[in-house]
Amino acid sequence: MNVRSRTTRALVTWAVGASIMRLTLWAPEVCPPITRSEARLAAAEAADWIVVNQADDGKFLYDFHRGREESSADYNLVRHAGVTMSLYQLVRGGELRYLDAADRGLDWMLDRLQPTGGGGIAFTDVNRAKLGASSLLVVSLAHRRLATSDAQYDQLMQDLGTFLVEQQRADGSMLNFHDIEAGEPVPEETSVFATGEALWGLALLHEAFPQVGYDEPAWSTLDYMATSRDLDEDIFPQPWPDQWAAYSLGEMGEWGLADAHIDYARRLIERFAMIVRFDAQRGTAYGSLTHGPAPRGGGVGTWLEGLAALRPLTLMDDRLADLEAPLEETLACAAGVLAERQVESGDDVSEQEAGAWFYDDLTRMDDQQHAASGLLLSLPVLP
Amino acid sequence: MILALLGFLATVNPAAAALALIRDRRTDRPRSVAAGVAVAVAVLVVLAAAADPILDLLDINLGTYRLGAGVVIAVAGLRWLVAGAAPACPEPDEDRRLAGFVAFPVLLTPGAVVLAVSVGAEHGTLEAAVGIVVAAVLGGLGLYLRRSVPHLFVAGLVRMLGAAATVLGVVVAVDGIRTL
Repeated sequence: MNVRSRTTRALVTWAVGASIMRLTLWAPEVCPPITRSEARLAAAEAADWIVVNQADDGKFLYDFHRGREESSADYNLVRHAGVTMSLYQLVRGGELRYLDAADRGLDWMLDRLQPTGGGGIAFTDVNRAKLGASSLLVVSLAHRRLATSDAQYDQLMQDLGTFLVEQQRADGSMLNFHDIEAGEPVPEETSVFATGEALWGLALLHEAFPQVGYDEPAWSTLDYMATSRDLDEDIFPQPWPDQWAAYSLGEMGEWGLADAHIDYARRLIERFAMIVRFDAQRGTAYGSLTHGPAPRGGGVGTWLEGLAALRPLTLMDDRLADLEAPLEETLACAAGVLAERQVESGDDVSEQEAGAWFYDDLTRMDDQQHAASGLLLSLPVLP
Repeated sequence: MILALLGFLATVNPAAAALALIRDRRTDRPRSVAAGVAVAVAVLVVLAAAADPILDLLDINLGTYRLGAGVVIAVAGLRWLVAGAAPACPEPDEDRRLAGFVAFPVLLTPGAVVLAVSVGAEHGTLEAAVGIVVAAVLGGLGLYLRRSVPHLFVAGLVRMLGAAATVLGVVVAVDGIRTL
């Protein structure tokens, strides 16, 4: 091979390689600009979807398929509690008009409380009480208490807290189910979601009732999540992008986090940011071909929640201060991407579609829940 | 500084440069080789200095860039590790063609080009320039002194530097994943 042909071959290889890189790993990150008022409106429209489609007894519309124009008969208590929690977050954020709907969602939960074996209370309508449902009920009540200063549910919050502590194992991990009839936790069954949900509940309980001592089990579970949870749950790649852990870390930031917790927070921020960047690359004309279809609205919403919940740590803790600016930039990017995918309201748009996010023509109530919460929490970083 | 230097040594791979014309022992034209080295250095330093505008032009952040750069560096390193240096060419007669060939594709390797932007964006032009100059000059020296270098030893060195580039690529890619 002579010099000319080797140079020509190198040029062709470079051109092909550069094109492949541009289409895949180096595809442009498209971050639609979004203002604070636009994000607030998008969050409100998501909440409107929840409220407009809520039944009189407080139950929410679980899902809607716009192709078939029908909803399934499925329901999920954890998601009900999460949606209620999101409405209370909006109330705390100044959207007082959602208080009535949130309270109706709360009443629906209060009709489904069962005593547990250890003196606690669980939110369930079956014999196997799911930890996450009660945890997010605690979070809902905590947000309601902060938004309204109404203390009428303080005893219930602490009874629910007793249940959360009942489910904790010695290493800080949480058992996912409680057998109501047997009055004891179901052994060996854990959940990647429930541990973080319970931790956030415990953290908020300690904030509300510092004299009770919920901080001790909260620290234990945070230690477990920061060091062992992802290994025990066979998560790959680690860490699990857990917005519940992020909420918990954000809540516990003022308690004095150890280096291991800060390292976990940093890894979570990095993980959320990487996912957001990859998702933003779907914004090109060919993005869905090279990067796959856009994820559920609820998925993107959890990334916003996670980044927004961890943002206070970058402001208050010097060990994470270097992440403040890039985190805010990433959060704003994700907010713009998420809002752009929302179905806009209009005269020819049904109530089951307006304000929602669809994936394969299906939307589920937690899509609107996580998106509304994420957009609301991202407001401080938007212009 | 040292990491950047090692990075450019691995991605420019002076040993592979030394073998680019190893079969040809006709001429001795140091000025052409020096001109090629100068062109390669100039291009890489300009890329390092223009790192931020390049990332803006690409519309990607540094983390995304480093992830892709790591893959490019690792693939180029793997090629050296598995296949060794590219087949040697007969030396071109024209001085300008020799200088151009020394610059591209001998010294301006894909790994060096993407690393220049990455180091320039993260550590600045000066740090990048030091690594670039050392690696390119070593490559030029190796090419010029090809008559006196033991072929088998240099061929082994090509693979060793390829292995180093592969490891470097993985490190850069993982770092890119973690960069916000």
